[in-house]
Amino acid sequence: MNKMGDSGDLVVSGLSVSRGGRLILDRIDLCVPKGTWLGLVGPNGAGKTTLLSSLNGLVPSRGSISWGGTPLDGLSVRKRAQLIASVPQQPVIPSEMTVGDYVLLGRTPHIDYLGSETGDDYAGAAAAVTALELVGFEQRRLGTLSGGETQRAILARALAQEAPLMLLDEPTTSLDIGAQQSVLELVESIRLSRALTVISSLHDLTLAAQFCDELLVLDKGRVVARGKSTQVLTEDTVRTHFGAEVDILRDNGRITGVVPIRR
Amino acid sequence: MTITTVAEKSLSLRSRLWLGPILLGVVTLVGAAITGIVLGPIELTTAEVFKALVDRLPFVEAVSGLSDRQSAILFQLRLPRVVLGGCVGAVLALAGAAYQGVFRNPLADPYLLGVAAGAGLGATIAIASGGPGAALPIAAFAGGVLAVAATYLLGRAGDRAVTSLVLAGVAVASFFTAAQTYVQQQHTEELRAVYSWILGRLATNGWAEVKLILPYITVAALVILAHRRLLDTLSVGEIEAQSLGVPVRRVRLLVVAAATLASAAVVAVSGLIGFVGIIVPHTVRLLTGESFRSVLPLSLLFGASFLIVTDLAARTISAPAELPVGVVTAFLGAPFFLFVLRRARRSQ
Repeated sequence: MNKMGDSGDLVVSGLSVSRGGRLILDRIDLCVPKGTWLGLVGPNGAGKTTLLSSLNGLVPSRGSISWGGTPLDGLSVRKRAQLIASVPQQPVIPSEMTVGDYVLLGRTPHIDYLGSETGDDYAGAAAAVTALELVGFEQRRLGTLSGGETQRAILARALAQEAPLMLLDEPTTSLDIGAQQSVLELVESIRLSRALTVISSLHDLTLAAQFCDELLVLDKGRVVARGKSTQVLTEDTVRTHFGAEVDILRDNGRITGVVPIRR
Repeated sequence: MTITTVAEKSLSLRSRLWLGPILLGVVTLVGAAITGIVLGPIELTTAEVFKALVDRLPFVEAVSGLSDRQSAILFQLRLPRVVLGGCVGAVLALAGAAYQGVFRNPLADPYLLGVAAGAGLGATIAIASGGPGAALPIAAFAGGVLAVAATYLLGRAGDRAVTSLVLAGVAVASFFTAAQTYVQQQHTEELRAVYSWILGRLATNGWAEVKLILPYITVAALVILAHRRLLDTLSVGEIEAQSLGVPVRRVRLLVVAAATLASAAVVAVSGLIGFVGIIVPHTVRLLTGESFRSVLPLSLLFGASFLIVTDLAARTISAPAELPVGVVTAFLGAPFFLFVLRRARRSQ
């Protein structure tokens, strides 16, 4: 049961972002109930990344964003980082850093300005390392990992933040099909075990339909559709907003594939 | 033992990993200091020096057997010079490592960023205008701040390659050095010869230099060392560090201010000694890895040893003449610079 503004709900109203005189996001209204996974889909340049960045406070925006009734714009960067963990599309990977040290960076919002890690931080990071199946990798350098392992290390860092809201910008880009699947399965299992709210942009509509509770279709900075994937993802929506001709395969009321058709 | 406890053990292990290098650093420093004190035109023995030092401790009497002249050499020449060399080396290495963290550029260094030249100009103007001695470090600091700001702005205008910042630093340093030379030539009476300053040297007048810089470098070093964890968080870039809750601007401002203050203070007494901030931190990285938690304290220790030893070389290679120590560090530093540049290119 969730009403608008319940504790732990993310409520966005009238969120607009302009850059260089151009409107990138146009009055977005959004309520994401605690513990759900919202998928952002839309064509290139629709504003998915900008929406995630503005939720994270990294780009200036108008309108309001609140978490459990608390407006986010009054919070310090540290308090905000205790609420929101984010994984950018192309994270900066310090290749000489060990996986353990990298995951410990996720504890930053819980450590005083000039303080250092305590037992709690090591425990939190270790739990994240375990959840992302990285035990034994702690002393490996990031530069020596495969794409899938790197993505797991990045997610472990985000998980170690122990923030109730996780923002993922294209978490499966540049992964092979097996790694894509296992990364999303791991996100799903940690979301369920920790009651996390996840908002992710996803290029792959099939994966988006299968993993997200709800989808939000963005086009030219506006919300053009929102709801369960079976309602939102139709041949018409995809044609209108992506300019693509697709077949949507369904089985038992679930979407099992979004397949492009040669015109 | 569960899997999670195994992971926890492995994570907390790292703080113990560099106890060995720290010990090595302390031993090296003690060795370098003793060598620097003992060697010289007038030979002193380790035992004599040790006894003379112990004798200075309260409530302890030890007969060193040093003559008054030897004693004066020890306490008014050798010891202040070794301590000053240690302080200058420690600060240049620490500041170099700190700049490298803030600018995320392996080639950042007080000399290459133009900070040293800016501080040199500030110090020269202070001396030339005949202001009080206490104004010297402040004027040097102002010059250093001006130079680092100019270098940063110029470097940002270029592409994102690591060399842009260094090119900007070279331009800024040339400009400030030219201005400094001009000021010096207008005031030849008050100032030492131009070349001696630009080449950098550790000449001491008793303990005066050490006393002048000690308060500034102590505060600056404490500020930089206190930021060692935060400098590690900057290695994921400004945007991600901010989303991890790091007040990036405050960290940068405090660390750059501290590194510039410390560099300016040492430049005010030693002139332009280059490359220490490149050679020492990168050698330390080869030893213990990239984390600033080990790189900063170890750079401080090894930087002190490094300059004590290079200064010893500078005053013995062509004895009785003395080479400026900046000539020796440049001689070692230029090839090292190439090595770091190649490594940086490869990892980009």
